[in-house]
Amino acid sequence: MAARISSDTFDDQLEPDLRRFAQAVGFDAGQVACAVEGGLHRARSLQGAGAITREEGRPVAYGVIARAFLVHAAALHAAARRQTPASCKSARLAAVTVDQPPSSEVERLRIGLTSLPPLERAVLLLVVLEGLSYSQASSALGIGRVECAQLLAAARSGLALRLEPARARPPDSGRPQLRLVT
Amino acid sequence: MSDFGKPGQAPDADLCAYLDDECGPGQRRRADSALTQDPALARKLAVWRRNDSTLRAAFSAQTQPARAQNSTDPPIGPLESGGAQKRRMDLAIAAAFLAGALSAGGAFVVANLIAN
Repeated sequence: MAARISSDTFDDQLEPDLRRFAQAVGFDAGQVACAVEGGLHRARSLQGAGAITREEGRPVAYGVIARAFLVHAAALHAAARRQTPASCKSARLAAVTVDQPPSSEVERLRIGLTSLPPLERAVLLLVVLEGLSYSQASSALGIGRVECAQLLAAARSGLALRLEPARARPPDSGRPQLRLVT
Repeated sequence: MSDFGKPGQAPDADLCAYLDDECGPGQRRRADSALTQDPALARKLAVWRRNDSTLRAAFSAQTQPARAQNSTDPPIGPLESGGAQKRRMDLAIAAAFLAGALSAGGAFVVANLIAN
């Protein structure tokens, strides 16, 4: 039987990782704090009931954050569909700003991540960034293992589409050419 | 595109499983064989691997400075005590008094010289 751990140790081990995941999916500072607390609370309550082991705790806590993110993303999507023509115009302007060529690979990566569908983004971050196995990521998101692999493949392909054309460009393209004037 | 996975499963999903070490020995052998025969598939794997590294580096770089800053910053010293502040004020008053006395004395000497 797997070892059970105290609440404090559990929180100390998990909190930085949960915080990183919540930031990576796109939550702002306030949402990160709420989501992390929610994840820890859920894992703690299951642990208190004796239903959780160290191995099972991580995907449970990640799952709370991932589901909160999916609900949040769905609400944003629904709100965007209800937008008035005037706010649509501002959304188009924002999209134009985002489409400006970003200066660094990390910026391109962030933009690439936000352009992925929410579920693909969540799977990619759970597996690649947080190191969850397909089984753990599947149970965190409530999907099947095969679907997990398919979503992951779609996310990786989408990210590659976003990042590779920029890598193919020479690093100085787009910058103004400066000439020494004597 | 090579179809090295189970029948009916998307090759890209199999490539993901290969990259994440989530496939069985048989599937891994088929993948190795497909990767040697299909340069496009090998390129795709290399791109995915590189993007994974960029992703991990981006977010570990984001979280590390805060931890590093905490560990390398010198500890902040204790605030000055009230006694030290009082001593500094006493010294300032004494210096002002001395300067005033010197200038008054000088003026007295000059006035006597003029009178004589």
